Amino acid sequence: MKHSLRFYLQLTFTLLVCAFLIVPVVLSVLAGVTENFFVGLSSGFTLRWVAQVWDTYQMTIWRSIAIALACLVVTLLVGVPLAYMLARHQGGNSRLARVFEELLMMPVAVPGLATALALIMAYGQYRAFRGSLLFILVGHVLFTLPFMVRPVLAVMQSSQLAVLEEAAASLGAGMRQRFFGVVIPNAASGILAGALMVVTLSIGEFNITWMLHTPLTMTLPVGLADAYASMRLEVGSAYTLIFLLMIVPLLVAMQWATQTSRTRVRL
Amino acid sequence: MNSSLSIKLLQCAKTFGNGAPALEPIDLEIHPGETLVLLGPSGCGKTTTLRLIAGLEFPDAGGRVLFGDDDVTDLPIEKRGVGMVFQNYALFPNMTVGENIAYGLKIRKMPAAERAARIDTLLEMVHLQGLGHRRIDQLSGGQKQRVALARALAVEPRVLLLDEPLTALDAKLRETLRADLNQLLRKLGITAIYVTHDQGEAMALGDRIVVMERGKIAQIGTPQDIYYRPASEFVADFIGTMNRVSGVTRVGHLQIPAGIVPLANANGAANGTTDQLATAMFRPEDVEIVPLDTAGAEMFGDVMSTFFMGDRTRLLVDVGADMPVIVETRRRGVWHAGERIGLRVPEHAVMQLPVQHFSGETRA
Amino acid sequence: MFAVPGMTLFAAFWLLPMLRLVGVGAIGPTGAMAYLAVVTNRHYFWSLVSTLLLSGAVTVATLAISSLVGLFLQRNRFPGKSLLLAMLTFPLAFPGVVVGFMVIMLAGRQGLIGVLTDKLFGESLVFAYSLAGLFVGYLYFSIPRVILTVMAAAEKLDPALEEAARSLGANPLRVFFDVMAPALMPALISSGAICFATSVGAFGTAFTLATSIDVLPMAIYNEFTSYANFAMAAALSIVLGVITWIALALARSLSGSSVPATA
Repeated sequence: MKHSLRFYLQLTFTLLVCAFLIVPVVLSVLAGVTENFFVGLSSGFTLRWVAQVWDTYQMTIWRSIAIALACLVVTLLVGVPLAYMLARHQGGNSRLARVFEELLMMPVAVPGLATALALIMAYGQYRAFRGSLLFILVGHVLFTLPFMVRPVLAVMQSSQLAVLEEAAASLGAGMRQRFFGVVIPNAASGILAGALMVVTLSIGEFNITWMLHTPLTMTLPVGLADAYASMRLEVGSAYTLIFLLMIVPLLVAMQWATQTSRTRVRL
Repeated sequence: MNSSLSIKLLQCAKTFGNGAPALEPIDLEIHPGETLVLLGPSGCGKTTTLRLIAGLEFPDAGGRVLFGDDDVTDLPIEKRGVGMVFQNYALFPNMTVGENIAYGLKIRKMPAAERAARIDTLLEMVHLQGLGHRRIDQLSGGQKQRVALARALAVEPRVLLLDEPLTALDAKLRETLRADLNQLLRKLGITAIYVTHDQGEAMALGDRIVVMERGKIAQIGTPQDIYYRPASEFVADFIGTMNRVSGVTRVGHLQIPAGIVPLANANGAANGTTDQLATAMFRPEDVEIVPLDTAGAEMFGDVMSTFFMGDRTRLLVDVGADMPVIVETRRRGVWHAGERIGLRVPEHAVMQLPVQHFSGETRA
Repeated sequence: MFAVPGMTLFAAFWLLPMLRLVGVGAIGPTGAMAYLAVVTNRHYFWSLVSTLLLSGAVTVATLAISSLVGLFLQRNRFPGKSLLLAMLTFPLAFPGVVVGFMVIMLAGRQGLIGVLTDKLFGESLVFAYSLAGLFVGYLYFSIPRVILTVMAAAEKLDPALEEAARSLGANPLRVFFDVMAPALMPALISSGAICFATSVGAFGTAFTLATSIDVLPMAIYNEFTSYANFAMAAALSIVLGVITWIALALARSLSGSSVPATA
């Protein structure tokens, strides 16, 4: 297939942009497994930096995973019923739904810094709460909740939930049966998309967490900032490498999930 | 208005990226000033053919497109000087009606005053006087289509190409616009190529019709040719409704369970060959209802259902074949389900396909 | 009934604390005037201005770059395209700190550019810790987002409009300006607004690259941690919040959705 000059110029530009984005990632991954970055690859391949990161920051990794999973559970329990309520109220297009979505998006629209400050001001005096992982969890939930509600709501709207429920009701199903037998299964693709999004966002959340954390409640991104500031380049790189290894499968799963839901037949 | 152009397609074929051929090599000649209709079901290649003529697609190697004496095969659409009307109008939403119409003129650098005059002339031509300053989203479907037409005509194209222009409109509007369009095309005398899947539209508008099927031309002819003398089973089925009855040939007629159907010698297989299985076809409006007891009745059947349609009545009659015979009559009368009825088909109305197209066996 | 847990959570942990924050902003030594400090106080004023200018510059650059790339990818098919797209959108998941680190890898003391310029010119170019580095960092997290939006908008373009323009004689450049650009404008404005809001509120990147750059989020952070000036920190963060919210409201009004994320 022949291409014009314009095509090749645009392709080159695109490749340059791509290089801009990817080259540092590649460098960072290399740095994480090289003896001495300054010397370069010739200094040898090693996992000692990764080991060092594991020794020093292991807890942050487990904490991030724990918080992400807890966050997922909370957003599922809170967000799915909320989306359901919005979807049922005039098919999800009412002013009420819009206002709700608007409100829920506030912790996302407003810089994390502000949200975190507000939380500290309001609850900072409760020492036990302030110093626990729960405090951080609250911040994460506020930030990720709209990302669960939105896709679930979207799927519920498009599958014409009201009609399905009416059909189920006409066959005798009560509210609980309808919710678990009709609503949830049909919203599954939205729930999955939301879940992946919530977990990914929680693992990478920094702005709120940095303000809320204490030395005993450091998460992975907080640890990263610590490492970048105080450790060797190689250590920071190795730490970043671990982070990338955690999120790449999530991103791939999200890609796969959106692709399969696109081919789903609409009612 | 413009010197009209003849168009020739020579051995033009089109295969798309996935390997499936959209168009087998076809030869087509369009006479100056005629309105040629490309008719067929979706996927038959009619839109592809139009786009080849327009210059939006290029034919596979070996195909050539000629406008008059000029070979335009390698020219893209911007350089072919055609006027095109799209199915969903494709009006520019960021421009007013007048700006849309004058777009082609602006590109050709016509001075503003002249443009304004042309806009007015065109608006009058399509009965949209005074709407030049309207925004596109304020127009109805019919108005939008007229603007699209005016826009295409503004540049005085050598040929007008219309891609199912009326399909997006509702039935009543379609009929009105169809009449207007017909009048306009006749008046302008411009060469026009019109794509549609609606056979009624095709027969109303076309000087000649090209019936297409799966990338090939099934038949070219005037509307009367196509309707009264379909060249293949496909064309016969596609245009109008067609009755089919199978039986055994005898001298001068076809013997079917319910009676006889006359066969004209001129139509082929009745030439002396008897005792062959054959199929005869005839249109519902050609069937006559005759009283049972006269000698004129050649077929007998039981009425299955009746549909009164105001200007005519449609009857479904069981003649012992697999499919009921459809009869359309303008006679005033009332027929009841279960009633025995006598039918007759005049000889001239019976069609037979050429021998090789006989289905041969009786449908079971 | 279904909304109760969600709304209680939201009220308890965001709405009420936010309202309280507004109050806190007004109980400092300067009282409610603290809210005007962003314009009255030189230090904060420049902080705000540099934040807005930086974000503006990033927005313009991002729109230009991402439109070119996004349109190109949307309209062309070639082997390796999906890999290219995956690579271009991969950084979407990076938190601001990681982006900052990427900038350091490119332009820090041991960065790629530093090493290359040292080899070529004898003097290494290090700009990670300056405004330029911040600019590059903001560009890094903005480009992937806008590419996706542009591609989505380009997909919705009606090809018949372009064909109609071409049938009337327009060359590709005219088709772009007369038909495509107007159709893409709402998407561009809305994603530009989101880009702007994200840049204004970005903290992680500035934190990682921080030395002397003082964008507003950093100023707020310093007020809070270094000076324990809670009232000022509160007031400034409310102001920051209002700015980003307005930008996003603009984006939403043009596109019906706004999904910013932090950096």
